Amino acid sequence: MMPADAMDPRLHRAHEVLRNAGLRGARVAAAGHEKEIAAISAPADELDGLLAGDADSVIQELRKLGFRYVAVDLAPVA
Amino acid sequence: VQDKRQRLTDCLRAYGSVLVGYSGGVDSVFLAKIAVDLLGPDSVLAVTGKSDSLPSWMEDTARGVAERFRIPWLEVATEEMADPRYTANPSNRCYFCKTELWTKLREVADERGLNVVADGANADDVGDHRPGAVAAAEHGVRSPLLEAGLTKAEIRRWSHELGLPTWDQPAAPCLSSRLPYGLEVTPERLRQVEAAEDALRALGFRDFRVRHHGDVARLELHPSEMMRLIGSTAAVRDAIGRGGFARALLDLEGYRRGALNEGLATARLVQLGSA
Repeated sequence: MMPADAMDPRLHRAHEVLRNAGLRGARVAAAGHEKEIAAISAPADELDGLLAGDADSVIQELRKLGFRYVAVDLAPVA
Repeated sequence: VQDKRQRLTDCLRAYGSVLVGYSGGVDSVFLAKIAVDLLGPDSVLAVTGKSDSLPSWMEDTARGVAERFRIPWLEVATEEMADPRYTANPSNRCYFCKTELWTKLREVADERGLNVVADGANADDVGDHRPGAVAAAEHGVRSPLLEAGLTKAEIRRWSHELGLPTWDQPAAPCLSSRLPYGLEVTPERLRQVEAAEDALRALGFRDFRVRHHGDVARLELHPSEMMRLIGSTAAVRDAIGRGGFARALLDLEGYRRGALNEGLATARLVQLGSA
């Protein structure tokens, strides 16, 4: 069975947004009961960068794809 | 501002006696205190509607301030959780809760012979999505702070002058406001939110919301508290885990008042003043 994420047309573009922002280790998935959240998982260094601010363009681009919220997972990926 | 203070005084004097819907928040605490100072304790009753959606710390504040400032206080159980129109969590959820609240409070006012039922709505509340204000209007609830034109900042300043501990308390709407519209309100979900928020408060955070999105929590943190987060992400994650959420997400845009209304079409927004 294919994971639900693989069928979400927003996610391919969402990953491009992350790559273009230089977030090479980060991934994004749709989360929430209506899949309305772009949930970014990132390695510790990239997570720190996102938390330190300067994520405006990533937020705007992901919202344009149809996500109502843009959020990062507080658990860094290894 | 002096004019506004005079207008509030005139308003309350004209009431003669008043029952204040008293949540333990900045506005209703201020209103109850002013009313007692002006009309005396025999002519004022502050009433808190108690249900699962009232955070315990708000209830404690309500009780504590009432005791310390000798505000006659009563707690009344409200049954909005028994109303399926409420628990279905539509965008006008607040209407059903406030209908229940003001019905109960009107009964108390009638029993005690209090002339007027009043709430703490203020001049800054005009324009927000407030279906609860419709219920207030339907029950003849007066909003003296709004009628006097007092803004939140002015109420905070005056509260400070009066020595009220609530003067700098963050805005604190009910726990159901942490659930996106359409996600059913259950006592268990409200307890999850409260457990996570209590744990975050214990870490020193003050201005934030834990939004419940089913299996994940989305933390909205006020920009002024982002610094506190740096270096303590693990502790924050654990705090949110106390609420039983599988995943802790941090919203990159931070805490925004009424954020869950952002998905609503304008036509579905009910605004105080237009209602």
